[in-house]
Amino acid sequence: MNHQASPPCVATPLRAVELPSRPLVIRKVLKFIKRHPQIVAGASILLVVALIAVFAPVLGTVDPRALSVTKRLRPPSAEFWFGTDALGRDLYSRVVYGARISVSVSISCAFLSCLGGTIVGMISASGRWADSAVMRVMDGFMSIPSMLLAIALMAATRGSIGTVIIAITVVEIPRVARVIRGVMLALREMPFVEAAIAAGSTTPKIIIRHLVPAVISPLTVQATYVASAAIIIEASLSFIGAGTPPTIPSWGNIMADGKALWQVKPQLVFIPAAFLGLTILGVNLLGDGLRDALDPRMAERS
Amino acid sequence: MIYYMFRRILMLPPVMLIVAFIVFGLLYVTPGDPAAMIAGDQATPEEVERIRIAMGLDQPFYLRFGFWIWQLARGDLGTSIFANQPVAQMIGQRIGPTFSLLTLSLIISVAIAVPVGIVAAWRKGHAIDRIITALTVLAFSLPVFVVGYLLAFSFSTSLGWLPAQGYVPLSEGFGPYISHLILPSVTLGVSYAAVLARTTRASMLDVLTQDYVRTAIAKGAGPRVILYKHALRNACVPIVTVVSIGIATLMGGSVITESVFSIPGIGRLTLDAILHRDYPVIQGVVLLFSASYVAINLITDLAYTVVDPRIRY
Repeated sequence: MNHQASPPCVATPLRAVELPSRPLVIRKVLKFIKRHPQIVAGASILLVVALIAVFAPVLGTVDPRALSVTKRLRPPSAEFWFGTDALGRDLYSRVVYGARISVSVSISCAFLSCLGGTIVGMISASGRWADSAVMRVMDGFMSIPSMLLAIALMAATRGSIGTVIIAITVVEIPRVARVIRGVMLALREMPFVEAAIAAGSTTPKIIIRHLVPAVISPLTVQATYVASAAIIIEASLSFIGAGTPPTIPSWGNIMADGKALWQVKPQLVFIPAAFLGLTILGVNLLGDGLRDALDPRMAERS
Repeated sequence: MIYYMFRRILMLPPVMLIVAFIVFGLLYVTPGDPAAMIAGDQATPEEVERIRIAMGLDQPFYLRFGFWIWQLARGDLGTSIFANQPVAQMIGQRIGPTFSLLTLSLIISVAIAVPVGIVAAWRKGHAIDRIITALTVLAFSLPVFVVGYLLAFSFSTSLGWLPAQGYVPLSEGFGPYISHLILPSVTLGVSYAAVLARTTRASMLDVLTQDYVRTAIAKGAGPRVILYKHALRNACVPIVTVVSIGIATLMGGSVITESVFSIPGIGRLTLDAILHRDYPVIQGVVLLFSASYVAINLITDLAYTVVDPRIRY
């Protein structure tokens, strides 16, 4: 009965850092950086963005919505670090506050999609009949290009951050559900699950003790993919005027505001664009790194 | 084989019916009165009533859905609430630029990404592989409109090589047509090409470790023969899959690309529809793209049997 040995071992490399004695910790950290440079780079970028989002009010910002007719389209200066936009709003404050939207949308979408996707995936894997019914519906959702499904969802609702999050979550759930279903179907055939059933374990117990741990690592990787897609979709929707309400400064909205004047004042578009691109890069680096660390079979291939 | 094709084609109507149901149902799962929502905040009660009747919202859901499907089957996508024009006709007038954009983008992406992926796999671990891998991660991280502004700023505003605004139909000459399309097509294809290059690299690496490749090296075959004759042909099924699945990204991205480069295509139609909350137009656009996407994937699946004779269903 050594069935506990096989599934949870995939998550161990990440725990290696939490060790007490000091020089050893530093050595371990350095080793970790050397082994997983992508995770470290991605996580550092995201940490900075998250700190910017959390501490936005104390980072030398003014009210990002405050209009000033006399101070329109100022170039970057000591007073306005990134200059001002066509309505005299401080671009630096807007960009800093914009981080809040991207961070909160990506975290909420990643959490909700993983939750929903796991539930749908488990329902699908639980029985033959349920599987074909659920998967046909998921196929239907996945036959609609994700950006267009998000646009249709936004057109059918009133624009708010909540509806943006719901729209992205609906788009992403089928993708997560497919992965979870695949993992579940593969696990069902595993000897350790059979052994647990033979040993008289109850179904909920099998799910909690054996299946959930095995799902955690693919789910972590999926969460980063969802987070990256969520930031891109939110920004794109806002950019075309179908996302976050225009009064709220999000990076997509700031770029949409700067769209008309971008050839004269390129910084109105390129500063939020740089923040946006860098944040997505951070999420993708973290995701790729995690995939390589958690799924050695995939790491060999790519 | 014939049986498989028959079964795949038979599965098409149910999938499209589910897609239609989703697109149609979206408007009704959201809280509130769809007619009032479409009419907007400043609408008079009469206007709301007019939209309610125009969309058939005074009838029960199953009747409306049945009627709508019946109309769709006859090629009628409904009537725009704002322009009061058949949706099919509106899409027909704007499909040209979007189709050109998607096609050119697909061609450019495949032509660049596949060779780049092959080179990266062949030179695995070398500087060139690292550079390509880093570039693909970066390209994958930039939203379409960010790439659009970067390219427009570099090649149009700064260098003045290519126009960055508008669209010229093919009937007015190939030169202006293609020069207006290059920047938008490259913009649209960047993240698609990145995914494609990564898939090509991964799939080639998979094949290059196979025994028959080692045998080919051992018997003294040159790199060109090994790469193209032994490896690429065996690696191409996953590549073709990603080419076809990724078209969804291109379709979604075309709406945004058209907005950046002011191209009067389906994307512009969609943006106007969003602005006026013209839901029938959005339904029509989403259905059209989804149907094309499903059809492309079906054709790809059937094409596998040609590309890879080992696949027998």
